[in-house]
Amino acid sequence: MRRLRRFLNRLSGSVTRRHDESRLREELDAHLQMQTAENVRAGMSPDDARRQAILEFGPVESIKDRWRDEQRLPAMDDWLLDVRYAFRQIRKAPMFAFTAIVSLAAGIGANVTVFSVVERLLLRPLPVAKPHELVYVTDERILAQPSPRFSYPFYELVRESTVLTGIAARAAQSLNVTVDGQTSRAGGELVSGNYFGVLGAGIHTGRPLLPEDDKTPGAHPVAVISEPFWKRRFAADPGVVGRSVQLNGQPFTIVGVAGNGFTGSDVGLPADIWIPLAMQREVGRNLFIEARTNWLELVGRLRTGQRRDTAADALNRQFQERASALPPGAAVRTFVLVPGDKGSSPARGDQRTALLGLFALTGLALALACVNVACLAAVRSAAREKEMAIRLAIGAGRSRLERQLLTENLVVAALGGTAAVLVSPWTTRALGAAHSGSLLIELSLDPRVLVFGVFVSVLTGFFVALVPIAASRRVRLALGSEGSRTALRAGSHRPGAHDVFVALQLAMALSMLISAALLVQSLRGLSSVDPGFRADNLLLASLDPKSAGYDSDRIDGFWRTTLEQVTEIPGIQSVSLAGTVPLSGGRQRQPWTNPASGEKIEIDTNFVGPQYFRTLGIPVLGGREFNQGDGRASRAVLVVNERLAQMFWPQQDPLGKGLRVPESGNPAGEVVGIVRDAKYRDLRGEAGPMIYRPVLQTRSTDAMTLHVRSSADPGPIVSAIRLAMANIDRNVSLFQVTTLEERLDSSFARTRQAVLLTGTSGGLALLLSAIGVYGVTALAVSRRTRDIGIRVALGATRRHIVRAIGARVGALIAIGLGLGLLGSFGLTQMMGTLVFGVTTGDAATFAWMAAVLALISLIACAIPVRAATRVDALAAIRHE
Amino acid sequence: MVRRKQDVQQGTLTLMVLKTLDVLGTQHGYGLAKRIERISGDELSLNQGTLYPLLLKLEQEGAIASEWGPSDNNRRARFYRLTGAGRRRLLAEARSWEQTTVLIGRFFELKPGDVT
Repeated sequence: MRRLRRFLNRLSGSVTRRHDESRLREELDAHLQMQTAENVRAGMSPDDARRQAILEFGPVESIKDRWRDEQRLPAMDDWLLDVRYAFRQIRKAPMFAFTAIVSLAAGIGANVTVFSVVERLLLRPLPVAKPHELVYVTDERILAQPSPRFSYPFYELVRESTVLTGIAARAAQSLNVTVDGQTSRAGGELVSGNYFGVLGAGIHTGRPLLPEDDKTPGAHPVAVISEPFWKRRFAADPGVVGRSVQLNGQPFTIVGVAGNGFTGSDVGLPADIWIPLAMQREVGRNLFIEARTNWLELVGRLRTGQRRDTAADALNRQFQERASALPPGAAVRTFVLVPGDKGSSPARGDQRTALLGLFALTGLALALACVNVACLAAVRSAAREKEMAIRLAIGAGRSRLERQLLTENLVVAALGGTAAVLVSPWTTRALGAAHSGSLLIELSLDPRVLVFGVFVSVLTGFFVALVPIAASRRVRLALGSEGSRTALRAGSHRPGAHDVFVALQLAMALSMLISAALLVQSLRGLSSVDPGFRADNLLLASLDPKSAGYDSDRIDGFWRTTLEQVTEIPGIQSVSLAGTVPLSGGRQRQPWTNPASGEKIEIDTNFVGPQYFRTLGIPVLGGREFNQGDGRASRAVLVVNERLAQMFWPQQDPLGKGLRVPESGNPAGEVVGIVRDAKYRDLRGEAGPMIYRPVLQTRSTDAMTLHVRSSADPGPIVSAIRLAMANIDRNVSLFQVTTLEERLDSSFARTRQAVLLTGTSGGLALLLSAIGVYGVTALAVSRRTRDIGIRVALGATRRHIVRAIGARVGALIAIGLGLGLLGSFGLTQMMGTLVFGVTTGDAATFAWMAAVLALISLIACAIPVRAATRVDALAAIRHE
Repeated sequence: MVRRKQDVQQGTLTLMVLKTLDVLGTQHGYGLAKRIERISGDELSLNQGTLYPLLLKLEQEGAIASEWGPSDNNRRARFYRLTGAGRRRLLAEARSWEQTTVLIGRFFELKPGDVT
């Protein structure tokens, strides 16, 4: 305590630079006067008395010194002096400082940014009560999938278990939210009624969802919104509870706002709105009794002190007894509980590896940035050798000098780090968005990120300081002989660590830039690919008549009425239906027998409505399109694509051929048309064989997607379609309303992500390697100033000088680029499926990028080489 | 005859200053130096000036406080006094000093044969 008090007093003395000696002087005077007066009283002469007093007082100057030191912290004073001196150095060589700071800021910034995302997705616990008790209820499939899901009937059974304090279910569900007539997309979660209770998520305003909200299907139109969404969409309106919003066109009432910034248990896919599972049909899902569709993620909470493995054992025992209660088609599972304290996230698993790989890459980039700055610092210390020698000569200790150099580099690193940390919220948000489109990271500085930034900066400062400190050790007092020998030795052609690192940087920059360029080309390739259909002005909207109570007998009429009514809407060119939408990820396959080979084969089969091919813009090559007449009463018909025609009837006309259903052997229909191949699964690669069957000839009540082609932007006609549907049947609602263009666009998303990542890291690497080449050349020039001077004095021309310096740097650049080319072959192999429409060995791209990098490297080394040619022979020799 | 004076041991001067201030109350630096010399019976070799850095240290630590005041001959002098924290510290250090004395005393009383 008293040490602390003394320390604080001295610290404040140091910082405020209060050097108040008047007090001591006055006390000292008083002391001596009193002593002198007493000595005089004792009989001494005034002069003797004074002399004796001073003698008894002791050595005045040393006492003053001790008094001064007591008032301040000497170490702190020295350090403050060093910092001031460091700033003076920065002002003296602004270009050096600027390059160093930018270089470190880029390196540190990249690390801080990646760390922020890693922290957000992989390290931060959920903002709920006792997150360590949360577990994901998964099963043995966890070995193959990051988060195995379960069906609703399965959940209903597990929910009853008393092993854990509770088990909640959730599923992501994106929603169209309409507030005050304005519609926008929002991330939603369908959750069980106990979700908030089991997760222990706090509530900001109102109430959470409760088990009572999840009883009767369709009877609980209530929603809880997240705090960020509340601030974003409702401007933090305190009266938001009780407000009505439309979710996918259905009215819901907001009952609460979640607290502590809770955005659901999936941190990679933040939820804005939570609605009860009982309302799944209203937002477009109807999986209450569907036992084969696994779509729910289960989260449980352990009892206090309960272990995960014992809980899993108990759960398995209990479940085995009840397995018979499962509906047919549901698999019996062996439960595995995995820790859920940090939430689940699509960033787990393979994306986790990607993220950590990125982290390693930025770590490498920072190491290279450090080497760059160290290289620049070596140039500086060569220039400062004289200064160092003078300071040593006038009595500065070597350790004092080293501390000074360390401080200088720490200041540079601190400036770089500060810049990096200050911009990190924005770069983090950008990286988060690139990583997963829906991940919106809040613009705030997390304390953990701050600590990480400080840590990395200090480490960087220490690392960078090593080089000038080592250089300062070589400084000898006798400059004349020793100094020049050092210079000569350093001027040799021995490759140093700097050179290796610079070559590595060039290699890294080149491979990143080549990857980015290839990806950009792929994007361009993808958007120019002919998918086989026309994506513009095509609106998609799904309908689920089964949930509104339609059976096989009435379904035919429903579809016919729908098509008729929607066609009437002005601005619509044509309307049709289909079970499978291109690029939606969904597919339906049926077993067929290949008449050419007799083998049974699963073929993609699409049930489509009349005018389907006209609506989607798929050209009919022969025969005819389905029409209103292809109903249950008429004969069964089929349309096939070219690919199938070739496979089933090679070198024959498929029109008029018949196909049988393999199981029953019944005729499935006669081919009445051939259409051009269209790409349903993936724009890359070839279209697969496809059989089209008329939806009006089946008795299926499955959900269908309305395809609407309009003459202009389809946006405004959505409400007209909604109105038309409401007139037909209020109980059938539209869901998954989107456009084909949007679908097409989202299929580019992953490639676009990769472009952003490789592009930015390539840019970063380019910046670093330019600085590196500059540094290494400048270092060579500064070490050889004397050498060059002598050559010039002996009659060397500029060309000779350029060749002497350039040969080495040129070799370095060549080696770096060579390595980079090799690296990019490897990298592009890894990206395999992402690269499209260009061969991975695309020579032009490789050559262009190498040329760009070579040019930038040459510019970077030209600056110091130019300086070398201006070396004044006399000055250079005299300098030594 | 040259009298051999005792050098001041590390830490003991602090104790002397605190105790003197405790007994005599407020004192200026010169007075303090004189008292310490007198109490020690001039057995102590003390550079009077060394008192001042020590006083500053004790003040920084909060054991003593100081203010300007008029001295006997009406000059301005800095007067030091013990604070509550200083008094507690004096008690604690005196106790530890006594314990050390007792302990060391026992060793000095040792005779050959006392330890087997």
